[in-house]
Amino acid sequence: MTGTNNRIAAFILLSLGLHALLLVPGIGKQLTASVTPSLGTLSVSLQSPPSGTAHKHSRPVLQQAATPEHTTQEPEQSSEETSRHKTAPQEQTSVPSHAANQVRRELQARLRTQFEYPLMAVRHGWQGDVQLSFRVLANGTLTNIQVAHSSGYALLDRSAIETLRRVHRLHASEQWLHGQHLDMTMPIRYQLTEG
Amino acid sequence: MQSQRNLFTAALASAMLFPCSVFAADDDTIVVTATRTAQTIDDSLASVSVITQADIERSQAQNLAQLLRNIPGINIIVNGGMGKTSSLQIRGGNEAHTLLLIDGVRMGSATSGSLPIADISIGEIDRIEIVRGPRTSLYGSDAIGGVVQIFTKAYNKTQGSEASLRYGSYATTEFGAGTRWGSDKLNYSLQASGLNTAGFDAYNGNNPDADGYTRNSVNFGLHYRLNETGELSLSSLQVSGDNQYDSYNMFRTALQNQTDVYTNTYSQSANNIKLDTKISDRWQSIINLSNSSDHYQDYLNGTDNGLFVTNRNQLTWQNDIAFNDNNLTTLGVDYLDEAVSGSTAYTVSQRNNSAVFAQNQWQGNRTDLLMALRSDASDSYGQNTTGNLSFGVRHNGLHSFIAAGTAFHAPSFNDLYWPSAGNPNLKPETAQNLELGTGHKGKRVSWSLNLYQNDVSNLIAWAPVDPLNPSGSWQPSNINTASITGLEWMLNTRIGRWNTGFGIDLTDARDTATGNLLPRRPGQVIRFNINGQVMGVDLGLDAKQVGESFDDVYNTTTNAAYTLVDITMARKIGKRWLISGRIDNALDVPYQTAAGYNSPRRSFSLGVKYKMDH
Repeated sequence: MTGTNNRIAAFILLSLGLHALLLVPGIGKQLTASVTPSLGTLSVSLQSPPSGTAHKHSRPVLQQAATPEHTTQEPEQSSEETSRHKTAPQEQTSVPSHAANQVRRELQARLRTQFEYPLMAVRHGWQGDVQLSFRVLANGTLTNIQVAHSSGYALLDRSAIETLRRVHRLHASEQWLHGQHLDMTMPIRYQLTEG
Repeated sequence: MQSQRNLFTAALASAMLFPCSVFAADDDTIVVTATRTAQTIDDSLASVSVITQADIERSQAQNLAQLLRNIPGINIIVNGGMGKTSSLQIRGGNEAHTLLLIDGVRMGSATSGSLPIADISIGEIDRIEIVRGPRTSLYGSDAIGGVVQIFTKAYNKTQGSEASLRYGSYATTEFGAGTRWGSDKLNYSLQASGLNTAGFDAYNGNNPDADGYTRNSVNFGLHYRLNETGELSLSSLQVSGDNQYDSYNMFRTALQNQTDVYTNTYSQSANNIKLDTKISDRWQSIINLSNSSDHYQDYLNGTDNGLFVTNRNQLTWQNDIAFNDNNLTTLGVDYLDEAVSGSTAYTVSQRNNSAVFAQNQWQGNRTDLLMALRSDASDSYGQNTTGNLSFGVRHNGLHSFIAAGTAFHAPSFNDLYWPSAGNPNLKPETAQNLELGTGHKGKRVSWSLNLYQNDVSNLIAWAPVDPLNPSGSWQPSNINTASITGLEWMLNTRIGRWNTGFGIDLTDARDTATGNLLPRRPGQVIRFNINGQVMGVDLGLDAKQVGESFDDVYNTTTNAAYTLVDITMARKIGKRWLISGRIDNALDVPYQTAAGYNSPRRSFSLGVKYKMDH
């Protein structure tokens, strides 16, 4: 009986190890990219000349993108994208600017009811500008939310991140993203006004 | 563009309903705004007035009485002009029922329980917060009627320098100068001011000469950022001067036409070392080590007539913890040591008080809740537990709250330990308060209405030691009770560049045993003020109609009703110069806030100020 238990334990350990490998940044990214057909990376392969790592990812993505409507739209999108980069550098993607604006609008509308000014920050008179960076996946889910520029108050930074996390998914944006992801930054200003 | 404008106006509308509003600016920045709250207590659940630096400059006030007498709920009594004994009552409470803090430091005399209202100079003040209602559960003893918290320029981190000169009626001269400098790491500020006035005859009949006054004050502040999480601050205020006043000697046969010369010298100091530490992003620790002193030397006809000194040391450790964005929990401990000295041999000359306090504030989209509890243990007057419970609701643009609180006031050294007359068994005066408030804050019109009921018991008054033998010896005793009911109505409008304010205070403060009105509590005060700009000149008018009050507990002597109008004018010359003028008591009304004591008649002052940004 102990032998079986040992074998089960070894199996569990191995399984845990493999799962852990998936979770380790870097390795995890590469593995998930090749396993799941990540639509988001489509833009990378079409936009920038294939570099070392992007090239590795491009194969399954190209297979996914081989639908008629996508191929017809792509050239138009990329030309818009390059011109857009000069004016608004915060969105790195091939999603057209009008579509990116729609996503931003939906996000802003959702955020209007979500944001809170933390009570502690109000009482201590803390205010400042936070800049968050994040990725909107093709299905509208917000991921990889990070502080690109701190307000100087960890509480405000964290509150902003949590607010964005609460939005979780932009359902209406799926139609604008056309199977692509969108990297965005969003400036948030916490400002106290005199009574 | 259109949609953004709509978003913006929608946000403005919701600002009146919700504690914070969110809108997208033109550059796509999400702007989250909230109204700055008073530091003393969150004003969403309490009745608070804030006097800003702009308000102070506009008022051109030269003492605290001129500045505070136009604030709702406050009644100021001055015994005969600038520098003379002045007392402040909030919501019909006794003078000692107000807690006065300067940069968080507890002020006042522990021997008499009086506050240095007369001697705080205006030049050093950055802002003042006035909280009406009990706050013992956060700040400890005395906050029965309310709290007056003064922040000096030591805590102003804006850079700049200024100098000013002022001259006016009763040969009053005043100067002030200050500079504030700083970097990200280090800030400092230094202010100094002086005032000298020839004054006027303080008390009708006795020693009919002008009673003058001088005041000099220095204020210093230093802030040093230790690292990303910590800041060390130092602040210090020193005030000193001398004063001539009128009194009467009860032991002389003729109480009128006495010619004795009464004078005194005084000094006040408030010093504070503060360490702010962010223990985590949701936990702020504040350690305050403070010292204050109150020094009063009295002279009669030039010879020593008594010295009273109070020295206080206090250590407070307060922790603000946010369990989430809608919550703020405050936990703290507080130790206070009070020592008195001077010409009187008090039977006990030192006492201390230890306290623990906890407060929890919760803010939802439509409701607010505040709970506070504090336990004080004194080696002089025992243990006292006080609490506050407030609940607020936002509905249909209205913000309403209900608040209940208990409070106490520690007996003074005079009452407890005056040689062979004090009563060491005195208990603190205690109060139970209930308040209802409702109001609306709009872009152009704001109003609020507060109703309160304050029951004060164990009030200290002189009574025979043996109640059956009134001809025997008397001592201070916890015998009186009072009931104070009041209403405050405030209406403020902003039309273009003109601001107006209108307010009514109704107060019924009674001794519950006799049914008599408490002395010097006008039953009705009506206020009106307007300020704005005409052809580059800032104009302001403050008018106040104060109803009749009784001067004594027997309700036999009255202080007549009076109307007081103050007018201010100011004009900028270039970017750096400002000339200003004030007419005090423009209607030249003779009035008294204490029977027999004169008040300034129509008087003028003219000032010039030079301001420089670094």
